[in-house]
Amino acid sequence: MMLIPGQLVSLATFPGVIVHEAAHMWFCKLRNVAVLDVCFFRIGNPAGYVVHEEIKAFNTAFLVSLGPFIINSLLCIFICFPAFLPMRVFGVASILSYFLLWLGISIGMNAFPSSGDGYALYQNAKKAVSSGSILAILSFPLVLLIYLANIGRIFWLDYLYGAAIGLGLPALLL
Amino acid sequence: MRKVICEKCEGEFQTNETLKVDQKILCGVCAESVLAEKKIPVDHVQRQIDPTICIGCGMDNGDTDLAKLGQLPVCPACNKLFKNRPFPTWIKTALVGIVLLVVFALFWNSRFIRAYYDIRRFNAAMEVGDFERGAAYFISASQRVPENAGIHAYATFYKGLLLINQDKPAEALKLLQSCRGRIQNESDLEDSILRAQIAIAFDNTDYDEFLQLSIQMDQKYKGDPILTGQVASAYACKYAQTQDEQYRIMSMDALDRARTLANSTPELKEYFVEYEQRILHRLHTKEIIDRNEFIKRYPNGWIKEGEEVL
Repeated sequence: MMLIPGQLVSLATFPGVIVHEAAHMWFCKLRNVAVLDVCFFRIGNPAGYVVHEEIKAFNTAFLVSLGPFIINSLLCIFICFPAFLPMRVFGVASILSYFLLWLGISIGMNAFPSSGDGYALYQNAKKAVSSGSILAILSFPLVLLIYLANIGRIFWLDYLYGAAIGLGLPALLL
Repeated sequence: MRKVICEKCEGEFQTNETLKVDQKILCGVCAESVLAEKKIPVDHVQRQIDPTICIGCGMDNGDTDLAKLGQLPVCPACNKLFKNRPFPTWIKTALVGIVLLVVFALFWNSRFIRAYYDIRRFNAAMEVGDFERGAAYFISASQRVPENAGIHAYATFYKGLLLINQDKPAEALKLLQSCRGRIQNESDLEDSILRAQIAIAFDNTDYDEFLQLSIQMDQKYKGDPILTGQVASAYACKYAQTQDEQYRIMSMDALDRARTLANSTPELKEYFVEYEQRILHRLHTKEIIDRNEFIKRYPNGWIKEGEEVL
């Protein structure tokens, strides 16, 4: 088996992939969407997936698509915070801090909805826009952002995002 | 289970093994050959779903259609599972583990959080000019995070300044000299070292050194009434020690210059009154006493006999 760079990144940041899929599943459960199949992590493309029933309500589709962005981002901040002060403010490194940073940034890196999530959101928004849903209209630029963010992965935008919210955000807030 | 006939090879196949390609029902092999021959849009190719076979567990319901979940046939057991699929135990365990790890890390690293708030309190105290309280917070931060050499160096510097204020210049000097090359503001450090050396010279009654260092400081910061007053103080010490009239004249001259400078603000003027009394007392009595002793002896100020309180 030959690993391609994307798979290597997924392997190195596997906790993030697991949290990403778990977040999809959690929002499905929250909105009573049947989950037909789920894979939290595997070596392959995609590295994880959630197969759910077709979603009728756009708000639900929106939440299921963007759930990982919310959950992964919050968890990234939560996990990185105990390592932020020792590492960033006082320059004191420890194995515990390095581990937390790896875990937190791995999870933050996988916050972006995938192209598949973007496509599903686009399809649902197309259907919902005829009913005048403001959220559906707002979703179109969001879909564009999702695609751009996925292109940005080539330039480590996902890593930069993880580091920015894990280490940059607390610096702004404190 | 339902079976269908492939429209190309006319063989009989299970419905789930066939596809609908361009409205024609084909077996897998025929579908592949058709798709290889001509380009057919993706949305014109659909997998056939047998409504009697559960898509979850593959249970065969005979010839009776199963209930549908969306468009998909599912048995009651799978329907229940799909609608309420539980998170695997390892995911729940991992989540609990992460929360516990973060809580442990917060506890383990709490000294950094305390040190951070000490530094914030230090900044707040310094902004309102409360150096003693600010320095105490900074020293506390340094004690909490001794690994940080920069914070330790500045804490040592502030400790030195506190010791000068507490009239312990010899201890202060050692600490301040140890800060050389470790803090960024070398100019402040050198001034503080000079302040400590001046205080040591006074304590050791080395008035030549006291005078020379005071002049050096006064020349560096021209226009500071306290530093000019310190030169007057040093000349007064020399006068008290030698009774040489020229030192008295030079002391009075420096005192006049300092008084003029101190008149610039009411606060300085008020502070300078007590300072001037001490120097005049020294010149008049030829007795050298420090500030604490002076205040103890003359809590209401000192006047030369026949004069009014300044």
